[in-house]
Amino acid sequence: MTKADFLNALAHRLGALSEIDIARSLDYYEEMIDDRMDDGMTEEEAVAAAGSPEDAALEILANIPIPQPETVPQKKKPDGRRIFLLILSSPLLIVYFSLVLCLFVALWCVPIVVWTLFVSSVAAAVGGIIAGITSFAEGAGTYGFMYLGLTLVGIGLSILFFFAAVAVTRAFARLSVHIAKGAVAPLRRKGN
Amino acid sequence: MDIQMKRGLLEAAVLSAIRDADSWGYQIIKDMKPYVEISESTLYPILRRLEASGCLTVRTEEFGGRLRKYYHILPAGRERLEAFREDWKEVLAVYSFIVREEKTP
Repeated sequence: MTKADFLNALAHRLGALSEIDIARSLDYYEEMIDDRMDDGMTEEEAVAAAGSPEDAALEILANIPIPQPETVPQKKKPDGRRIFLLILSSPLLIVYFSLVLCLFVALWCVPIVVWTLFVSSVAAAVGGIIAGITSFAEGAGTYGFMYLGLTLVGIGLSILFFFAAVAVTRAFARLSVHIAKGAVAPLRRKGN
Repeated sequence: MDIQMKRGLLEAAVLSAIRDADSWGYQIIKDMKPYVEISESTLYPILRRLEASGCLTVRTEEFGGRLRKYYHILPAGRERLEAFREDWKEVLAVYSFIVREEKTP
């Protein structure tokens, strides 16, 4: 057996050790064989004097701790029991989410009403201008002033309802996010 | 021989082999040979243990176009040798009692 054969056979049997320990062990035996050859032995004799690679590996493995693989946190496998419960409870979940949806629709009625008031006020103002101009054109000045007055009221209400609608929409958007989080929270697993 | 006892003896012998001067693996085996036969495979774990326990240190130097590891004894190694000597005084005392001549009745 040549030195290379010996070292290959030894390396093959030390696979469980860390790379550093394998390299150190191979260096040690290589040095030993080289020293014996320097001392006058042939390569074959020097390798034979080192013993068998099997015995060398056994001795090393028995005395050098094998590195333990680090415990990597494994991805949680889908929990069968949890999936089963989820299927069983699915009709209840449908009812639950329907209720949450109803709540959202009911809530969003308020901003919709305020926006509708804004649109109506704008329409009233525009209608008032048209009606006023038409009345003046037809010579009905009294009606014309009345319509212009209505237009001013419409413009005022439009401004008022516009800001009210924006404020209500923002407030309800925040409230919706809050409710959505609250609705999902009971379904989440603790610690996730 | 008891494995623990043999291990202790061999560790002390290896420390003794590098006590006066730094040495290398094959030289340690040759120096010990007249007293105790030790193989490469036996020596290697002993050197690793002694290194791990702070009794010796290893350095690599070039020799004849290749690298060779030299082992150097540390103070902890010398203390270990001293402790070994003290322990063996007691062992020898017990030994002399065990092997004393039988009294003829």
